[in-house]
Amino acid sequence: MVDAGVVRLIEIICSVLNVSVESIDDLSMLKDIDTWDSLRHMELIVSIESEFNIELTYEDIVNMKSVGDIKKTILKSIKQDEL
Amino acid sequence: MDITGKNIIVTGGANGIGYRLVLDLLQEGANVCVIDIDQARLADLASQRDRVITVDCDLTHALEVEACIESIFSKWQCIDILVNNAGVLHSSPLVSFSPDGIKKHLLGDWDKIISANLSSVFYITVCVAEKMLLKRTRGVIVNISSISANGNAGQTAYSAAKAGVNALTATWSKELGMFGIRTVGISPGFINTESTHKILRESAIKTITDKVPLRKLGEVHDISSGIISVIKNDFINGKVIEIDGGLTI
Ligand SMILES: NC(=O)c1ccc[n+]([C@@H]2O[C@H](COP(=O)([O-])OP(=O)(O)OC[C@H]3O[C@@H](n4cnc5c(N)ncnc54)[C@H](O)[C@@H]3O)[C@@H](O)[C@H]2O)c1
Repeated sequence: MVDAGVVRLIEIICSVLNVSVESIDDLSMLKDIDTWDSLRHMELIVSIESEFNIELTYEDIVNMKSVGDIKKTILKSIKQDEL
Repeated sequence: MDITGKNIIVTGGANGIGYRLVLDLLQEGANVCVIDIDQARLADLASQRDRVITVDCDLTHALEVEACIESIFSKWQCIDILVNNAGVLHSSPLVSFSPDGIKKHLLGDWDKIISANLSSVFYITVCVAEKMLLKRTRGVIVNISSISANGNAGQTAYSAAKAGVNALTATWSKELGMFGIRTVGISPGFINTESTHKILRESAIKTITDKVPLRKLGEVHDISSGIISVIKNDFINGKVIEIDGGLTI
C-alpha cells in the first residue's frame, strides 16, 4: 500500500510539473525544477489531496520544499489513515 | 451552500443594494460583517440588528483593509463568503464639449474611481482568500460589477474599473476554484437606488427605462436575491450574471 502510494505520488509530481521520473529524486528542491511555479504548486497540492483523499494542513503545505518532504508528509498521512 | 450560520462580509452594506443584501442574509440566518465608510448608517445597523458586526474602513487603503480583515478573522476564526459590493457610481466621458470649451476627463477622477471600484476589490479579496486557504474554507467570493463593464459611453473610468472586476472574477475562479472556492460576478443593470438618481437626470432614467424590455428599473431586492442564488448554487463559478431586465440583450 505504502510502496504503491509512493509510486503514484512520484507519477503525480512528474505529471503536474511535466518532468521525467529520472530527472527528480528525494533531494530535488521544487523551486529548482524549471517548470515549477506557485500556481503549479497549488495544482500539486490539490492533485495529491484528491489522489490520496486527504486534506493537507497549512504546516504540511509550507513544509513541502523538496520531493522528499512531500513523500514524508504523504506517507505520514497514509499511515495515519491505515491505523 | 446553505447560508444559515455562515460568516459573510458585505462591503458597502450600509446603503442601497448592499444594505438590502445585509437584511436578506440576516433573514437567512447568516452572521454578517458590514464594511463601509458611512458611519451614521453603520451605527444605525449595529443598533437595530443582532448577528451584525459593523466596521468603519475605507477599502481604498490597503493597510487599513488588512488590519480590518485580521480583526474580523480573529473574532470569527473563519470567513465563508465575501461580497464585494462597495463601489462609487461615476459618469464622465473621456473628452467633452461644454459652453466653456473642451474638457478632459480629470486624472484625479480616474484614480479615485479605479481605486474605489477595482483596487479596493483586490485589497480585500487578497486578505480574505488568504484566510480561506489557510482554513481550507470552501468559500464564495461575489463581485458586484455593472453592465457598464461592456463599455458605457460617458463612463470611462467606471466602465474600465468594472471590466477589471470581471477579469478578476474569471481569474480567481480558475486560481481558487481548485480549492473549492467559487468566484462569481453579478452585473446589475439600472437599479432604483439613491446613487442612480444622484448621477442620472430623470430624463435620462426615462430614456433608459424605455430601452429595458421590462420597461422598468430593477429594485434592490432583485439584485440581493440574485446574489443569494449564486451563493447557494454550488456549481456557478467564474461567470458574470447580468440582472438587467434584458437591457443588454
Ligand atoms: N445602483 C445601480 O443602478 C447599480 C448598477 C450597476 C452596478 N451597481 C454596483 O452595485 C454596487 C452597489 O451600488 P449602490 O447603488 O447600492 O451604491 P450605494 O452608493 O447606494 O452604496 C455603496 C456603498 O459603498 C460604500 N462605499 C463606497 N466607497 C467605499 C470605500 N472606499 N470603502 C468602504 N465603503 C465604501 C458607500 O458608503 C455606500 O454605503 C456598486 O458596486 C455599484 O457599482 C449599481
